[in-house]
Amino acid sequence: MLFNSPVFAAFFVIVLAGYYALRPARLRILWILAASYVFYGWLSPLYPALLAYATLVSYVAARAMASSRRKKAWLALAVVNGIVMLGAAKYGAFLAANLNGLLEILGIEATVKAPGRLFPVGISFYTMLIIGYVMDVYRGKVPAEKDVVRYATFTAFFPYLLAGPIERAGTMLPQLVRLPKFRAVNISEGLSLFVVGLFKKVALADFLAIYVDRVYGSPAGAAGLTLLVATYAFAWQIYFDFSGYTDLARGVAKMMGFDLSLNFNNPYLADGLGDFWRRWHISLSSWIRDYIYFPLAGRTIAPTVRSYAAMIAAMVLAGLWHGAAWTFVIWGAIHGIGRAFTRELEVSSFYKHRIPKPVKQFFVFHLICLTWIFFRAATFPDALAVLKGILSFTVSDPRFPLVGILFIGLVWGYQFLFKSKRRRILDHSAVRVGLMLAMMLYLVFFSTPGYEKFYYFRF
Amino acid sequence: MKPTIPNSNNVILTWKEWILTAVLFLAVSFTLYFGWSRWEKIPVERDYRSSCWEERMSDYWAYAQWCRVARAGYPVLLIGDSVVWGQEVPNNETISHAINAELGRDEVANLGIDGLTNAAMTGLFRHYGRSLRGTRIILEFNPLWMSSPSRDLRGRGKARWEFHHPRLVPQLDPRISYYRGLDERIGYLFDHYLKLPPFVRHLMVNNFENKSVSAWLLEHPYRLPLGAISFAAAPMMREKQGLGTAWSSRKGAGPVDAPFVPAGESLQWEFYLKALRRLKKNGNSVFVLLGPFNSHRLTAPSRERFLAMMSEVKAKLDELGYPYFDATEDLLPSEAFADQCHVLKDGHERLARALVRDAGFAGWLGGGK
Repeated sequence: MLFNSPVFAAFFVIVLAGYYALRPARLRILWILAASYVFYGWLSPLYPALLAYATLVSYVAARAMASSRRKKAWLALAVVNGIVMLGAAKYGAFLAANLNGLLEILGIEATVKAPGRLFPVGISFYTMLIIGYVMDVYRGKVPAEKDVVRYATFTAFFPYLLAGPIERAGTMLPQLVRLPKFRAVNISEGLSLFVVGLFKKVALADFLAIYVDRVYGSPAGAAGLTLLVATYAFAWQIYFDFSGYTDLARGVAKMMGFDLSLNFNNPYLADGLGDFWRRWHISLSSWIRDYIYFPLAGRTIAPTVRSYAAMIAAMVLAGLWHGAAWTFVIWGAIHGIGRAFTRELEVSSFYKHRIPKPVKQFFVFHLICLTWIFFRAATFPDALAVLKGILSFTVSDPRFPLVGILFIGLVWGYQFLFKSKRRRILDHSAVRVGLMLAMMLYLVFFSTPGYEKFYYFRF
Repeated sequence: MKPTIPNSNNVILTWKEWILTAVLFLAVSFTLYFGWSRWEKIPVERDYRSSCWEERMSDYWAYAQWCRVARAGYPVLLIGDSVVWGQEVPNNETISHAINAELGRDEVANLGIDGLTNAAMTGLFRHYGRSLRGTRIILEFNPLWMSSPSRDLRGRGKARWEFHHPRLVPQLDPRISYYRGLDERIGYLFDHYLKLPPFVRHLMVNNFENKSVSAWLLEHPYRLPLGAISFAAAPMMREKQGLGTAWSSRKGAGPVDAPFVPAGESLQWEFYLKALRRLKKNGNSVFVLLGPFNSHRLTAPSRERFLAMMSEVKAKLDELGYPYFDATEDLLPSEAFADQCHVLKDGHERLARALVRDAGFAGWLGGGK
């Protein structure tokens, strides 16, 4: 079920009405749990079974950690279970292909059979949520949840189930203890987030995707300028797509009275790579910092060899998390190496005060665009073809729609204004109403009638 | 008021602002929706027929406009599929033209729409037939839709038929072999009840080459969508869409051994009766036109099944008290047909002559005056 589909609208109206109508709280939480499993099962009836299994194993492990002396063993069980599940679903074919390649190089006549392809949408997200929870229980940050229904609702909560944000038990479980009452402000704010998210997804991301898909579909024959424009377009496509999804998820949760964390904070205004990761997919980057980087680096931010190695390793793993392909590994590696090179620079007085902010923003944006080439290209040779094409400096009419330039310009301008001293203009009621009205009219009268899947569903 | 949730932008409205936004949105939408039917004039002239064909086939908003105009200008509306629309002939050789010529006055309007199965007919009347209420209607019945389980919308696997007008058929009937997903079909239901989507689709069809604005902009990167919109309606379809030749002269033409579904078991017949009930409920006076249908092409066993099915159909119409004219059997010669059901100019003229001379039809036609 996609947030941008009519079937979700019907589903959500029923869920919301039932949620606020039901008494007592126990029934309401059961209602959310049932709704979440229906939502997930709509995609495939097998998916909820896998989710229920992961939930049950982690629940038992966390409960056992609370009462057992073998805490580490229970933690290992839950984490390994999550990794094996994710690995089997997502990386089996990738590992088999690479092993076969290695065997061929070594001249060994044998092949490793790839497992059947079952990739439940959302598994990457809920596995991270579950691993985060058991690690928090292990570290004593949160108590092991006793109520299995509440815990199952936490792991399956439909607004974030498919593509995050990756919530933490510490912020989400307390919200499931005392369920929010109906408040008009939750509806109005949730609806605002929902419409903005829908506009980002349907009007902007899906629009840019058509152009990007066309150019990246056969990059070999395209001129340098066209490839450059398509790369810029992809940078905005993926931002609009994923931040749009997050807005939709947060809007849906907010209408039910739940606050989900901010996942994107105007990332293309970042003036450093570190700053970018504090603004882009914040729930993922903070998860990687807390559960991968710190354990590897030894909970230090000092510039030691170990911390740099940990930084690169964490980003490579983040790349692999996105997909089982070498292009994602390279994407993560560029980010890791880039961050390792710029970390000390970014905190230096020279960088902070002497280099004009727009210059820093310009360079950071272009470095990010470079990494997006590997992220978007279907294969490594394709990525190289795009890079080679851009560096050929060949020029032909890229035929990128003027409307696309207008939209990106307006959004970027809005973001600069939002972060500037003149933000008051945007606070004005007439401006906000006008913007909302314009978005709604565009969605109804000009947006694509199809229901495109979200880009991050593939991860 | 400061939002209660952290945000990366400021387009967060209070509930009072939402009310204002909703009022403004509805005002703009209503103005466009209702105003457009006045601003965009259908180029109606003699023997007008709808331009809802091929890529414009699902432009039901335009079809509804033609219904509205036809109602005002013609005492009788002839509704059916491409047989009525006149696939094999230009617009001035259709059944409605031949009837009008036979009557000596422009009495009958051509409201045919290609591929309109009986199941789709129910949806058409329900969602887009508001202006048809209380009118006098000749309703075509095409036996082709009952010629096989597949045409009867029940073919499974390879026999599943990708019928036209998937938006118009009932979306949640488990007996129908749908070829669109449930999500999409629920979306169709939203379309019908929200009313705006069919109008927006009309704008897409009429102004953006039947593409989404996004896809259209990629073809025309330096144009702006607002600049492409005009009030010019699609021109009338004058040309024939088929070959316009007799079926027997066509390559590969041979006898057909259609199984035919008995009327008592047929979904399409059930939907036809449902369409009749709806028209009755809407105060319409209905005359049923059975066929035309090329029974010459059927094998002997198939013809037997066909005749048995038609007997059931006629018995039911007699039972319900609907007047009808049977143009399915040997009314028209074999060479009058272009295929299994589409008729050529000469056939339309013969059919019209017989129909106008039919006492039942004359009685029905005279009864409305």
